[in-house]
Amino acid sequence: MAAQLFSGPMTSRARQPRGAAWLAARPLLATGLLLLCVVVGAAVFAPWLAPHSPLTQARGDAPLPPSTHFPLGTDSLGRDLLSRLLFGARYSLAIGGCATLVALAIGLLVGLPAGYFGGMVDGALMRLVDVVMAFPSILLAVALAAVLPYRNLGTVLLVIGLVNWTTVARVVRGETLALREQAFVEAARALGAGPGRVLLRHIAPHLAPTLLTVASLSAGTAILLDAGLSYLGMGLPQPTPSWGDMLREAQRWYRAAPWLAVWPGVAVLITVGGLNMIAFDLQRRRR
Amino acid sequence: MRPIAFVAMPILLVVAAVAGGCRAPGDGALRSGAPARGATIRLAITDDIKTLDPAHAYDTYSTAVVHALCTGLVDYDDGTRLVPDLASRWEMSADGREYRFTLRPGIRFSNGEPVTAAAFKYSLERVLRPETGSNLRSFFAVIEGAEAVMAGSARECAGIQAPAPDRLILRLKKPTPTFLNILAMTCAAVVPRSVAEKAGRDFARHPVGVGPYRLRSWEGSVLELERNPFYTGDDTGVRQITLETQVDEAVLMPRYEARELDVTPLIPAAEMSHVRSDPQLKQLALEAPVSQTWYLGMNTRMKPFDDVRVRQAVNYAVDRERQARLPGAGVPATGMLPPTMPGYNPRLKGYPHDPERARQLLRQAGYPAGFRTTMWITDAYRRRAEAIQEDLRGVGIQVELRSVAFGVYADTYKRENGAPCWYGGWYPDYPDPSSYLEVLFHSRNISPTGALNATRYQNPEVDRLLDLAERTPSGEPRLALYRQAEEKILADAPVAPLYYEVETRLRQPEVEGAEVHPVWRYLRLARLRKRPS
Amino acid sequence: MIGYVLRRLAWGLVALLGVTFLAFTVAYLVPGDAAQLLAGPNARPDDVANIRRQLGLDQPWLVQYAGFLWRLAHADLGRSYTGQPVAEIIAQHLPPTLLLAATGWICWLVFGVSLGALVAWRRNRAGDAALLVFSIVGASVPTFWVGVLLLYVFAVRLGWFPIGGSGSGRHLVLPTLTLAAAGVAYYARLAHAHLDETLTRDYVRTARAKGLPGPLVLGRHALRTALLPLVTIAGSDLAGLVGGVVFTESVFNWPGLGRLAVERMTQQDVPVILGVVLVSATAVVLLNLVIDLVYPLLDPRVRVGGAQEAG
Repeated sequence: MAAQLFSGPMTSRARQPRGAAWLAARPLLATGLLLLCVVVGAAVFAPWLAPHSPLTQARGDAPLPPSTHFPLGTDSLGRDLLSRLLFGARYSLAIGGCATLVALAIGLLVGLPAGYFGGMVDGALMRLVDVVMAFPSILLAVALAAVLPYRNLGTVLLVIGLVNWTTVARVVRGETLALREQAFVEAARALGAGPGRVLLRHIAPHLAPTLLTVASLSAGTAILLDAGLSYLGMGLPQPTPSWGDMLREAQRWYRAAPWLAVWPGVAVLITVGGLNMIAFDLQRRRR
Repeated sequence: MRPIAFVAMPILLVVAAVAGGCRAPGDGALRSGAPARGATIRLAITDDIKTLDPAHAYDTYSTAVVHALCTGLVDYDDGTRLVPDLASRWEMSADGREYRFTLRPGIRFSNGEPVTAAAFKYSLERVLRPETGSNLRSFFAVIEGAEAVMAGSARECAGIQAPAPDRLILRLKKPTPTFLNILAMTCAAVVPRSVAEKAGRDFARHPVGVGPYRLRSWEGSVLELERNPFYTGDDTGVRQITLETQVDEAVLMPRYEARELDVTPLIPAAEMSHVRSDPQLKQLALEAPVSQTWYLGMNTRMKPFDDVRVRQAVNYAVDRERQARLPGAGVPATGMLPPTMPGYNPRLKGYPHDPERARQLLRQAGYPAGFRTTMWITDAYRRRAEAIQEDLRGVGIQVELRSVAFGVYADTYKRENGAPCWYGGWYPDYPDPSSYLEVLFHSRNISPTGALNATRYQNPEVDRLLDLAERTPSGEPRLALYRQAEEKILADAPVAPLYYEVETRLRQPEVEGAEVHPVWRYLRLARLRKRPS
Repeated sequence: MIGYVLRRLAWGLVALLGVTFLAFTVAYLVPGDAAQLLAGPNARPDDVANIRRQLGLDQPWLVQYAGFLWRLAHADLGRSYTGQPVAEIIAQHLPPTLLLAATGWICWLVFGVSLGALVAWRRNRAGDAALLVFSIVGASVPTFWVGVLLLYVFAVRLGWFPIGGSGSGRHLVLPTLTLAAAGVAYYARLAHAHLDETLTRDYVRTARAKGLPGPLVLGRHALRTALLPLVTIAGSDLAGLVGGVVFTESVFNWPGLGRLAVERMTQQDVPVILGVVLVSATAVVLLNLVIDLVYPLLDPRVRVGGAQEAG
């Protein structure tokens, strides 16, 4: 679901009006960047910020409630929740970023030729996109995760990238289609530039702002999907401190230890929310 | 926990039926007052019921339901002692190769058809025949002529004879002390030929047999069992059992508290401390060990586990007390045979939790800085495996957990050079030490793929003891041989036994007969009943 | 027009073939030994091999795919490893999913569009800002977390609703709310965007200036024009929901297709997973086809040639 949330206004199906009465200046971008900085900061400085190792298991009647020693309490194996949250940011951001690179690569590979050549090429490539899009993204991700013999950082981000590229492909195709008709592209073609050169030198640079928007959306979707996969037990292997896995565990314990269910969700919300705010703002600027 | 009593299996030359052909009353049945008539019992399990065909049912829950619908010649009492069920009595020949059963008179299938010895012959042959595709047929391979039926070259099994409607004769290729245990498995239950042949694979969803209940409906995740009107055994007064499958563990307690469930299939680990601290709930909690041992398996042919010192180091490194607490309830394991098993050795001390000793052994083995390895698990064991991972990290062993679907897991660790180590549990087919030690540690069970002896442990002395025990008739000398073998196996440490499983459940105050049984896991549905409220 | 319809139908068929191919290939690649899984942990090796032969798992990939298509053409989705026909299993799990998807979808449309319309009509900064925040949160929050929180507050703490399961209207409330959270935000923003544009158009301004009552202007003039584009989006979202309710179903123990797929995934019941994936993808393809065929009738301004886009 979330994967398609923003695809609407960017495709030709729905048009966002000019001069919409959204917030005037750019507080959205500022807030988004601030949130993202907080998360990146947590990821980078996790070893200094974390009061404990994310792996050390305290003995005793775990899960332990929040205390001065464990500010947010511990999980059912006695590991400090705050420390796991901070280190979890590393994995979430890594997956969000790398999966987005995978999605961008595939999306460009499909979207550029489709938009530039049109006709049969476009038809065939877009039909492929349609077929892949016919699968609900989480079901497809779950199925792909099951195909892999085992899971690690590489395979998880590959799965997410493979699911996420269709939005990129559609947007890139649309933009390329529009750019192709522009005077400067026509001129380049008239001067004898081949398709490869036109695409790389004349069209691709103009895609950059669009790609930035799509990338921040896609990173948000990727992080949500990763949390979802972990929640379903198909994410990174243990003992990785993954936010989705923490929520999965929380649901087992929420009668005895409700504190486990709050913070991992907040962490996902802040990260994805920050990325989406940036994307919202960029998208509005471009219109 | 209730005290554990062991009844060594006697050499059953003649077992007379109790009280003149009448069904042997189960020890636990009908103790206190009259049961509530017309009661309905509502149950839920977290798993799925895979099949109700006795020829295929093998997992805990499927067999538990099958056992309420389809019974066989013999059954267990409240412990591990065999008692007559549909057979009123039996004799074993002096050479131990022939069993003659006399059936109880007047038994009928749940569709009203009378049960004859020919029906038993058909049911056993049905399991053997290749078109049935039963993976349980090898249990009957000891019957004379069974291999020809399994290969498809014979329709009838020469070793199964039904000379009269109430007489069944089974001839074996060799004396098999555990043969009656095999006959107590649900795969030996009797089914009517008329129904089974017509239904084919659909028999799994529409089973008919002899049991206190019959299947009324199975729609979606809800099974409804109703009292079988043709059943001549004890009447518990229960008219109907509703069993909901695939119910989330997190929902069990709230639904129990709302009195929507009469018995929970387990007490979730997250609820354990609450249950133990609540005096009322504590009264209603049932806890007892069952015959499952959880262990860390190590492939003795893969580095570094080919070194006995490394395997012993792992045994010293793991904290069994903690392992036993993580699932909610368990007993730290000192050996492989669990306390409910005949042959359990209470004198075994096991390896203590001693990280220093573990590090010392690793140094001796040439791994002063530890090593890296991969432990194969399925998602169901991941928390417990994470605790092991941390224990091993403490002595310098870096473990990567590889959590895969059960099919991949089982395929991998049983394969040559498949998994260096894995988190596993073993539940025996029947309460006999051979079902543990022979299956898991005899070198004859090593094969390139699908090896039951997955640790690939090979010790001629252990093989010899196990072979000898297999030929020895049931009794104390036989159990002594197994104890000897177990001690040798533990010293060689192909596995690190972790804990013996304790089954836990909660019942409503009026429910009786929900006690944990050492052989029949989950509930013995036939025994459940309600006191009138 | 007839050419368009035929082309669209032909494409629908190609898409369905593509969907079966992709689904089958993914399912085929699932590693591990399905036969071993079926045989159980204590099975002997030759029994496992026996099962493998019986299920045709020893055949090459294309042969298995051809067999799969052939059976599919006969409405046979094969049998689960439990022995039950997959079509039967799906038939049992489809109604709860459809119920949940339908109620969730209606909430999206009803509450989403009303909210969007309200904000668009009021035209004030505070409302716009609130809607923006709502839509960002809605797009950023993990569905399952919303479910877990709702479950904790309303079922565990307050005890107003049952903790998961199905069977009554009360069981439906929390899953629907969970599903609605993100969707309402999305549709509110969408409706707002479309309406906002429409409301600035001349004919609406005229109607307003003439003193026509507000709701009448909104309903008669603005909504109709503005919401038509929403039809395509809402249509494919409904289809997407059939497979997209995985999290909600998992959190609430809802006995639908999504939870079925996740559960069978851990058991590697490939025929069932394949069935669920196929059914949900087929729903998307078919509903998109219907929308494409119906849309020109609803909105005569849409040039038939341009509707290709909606595929």
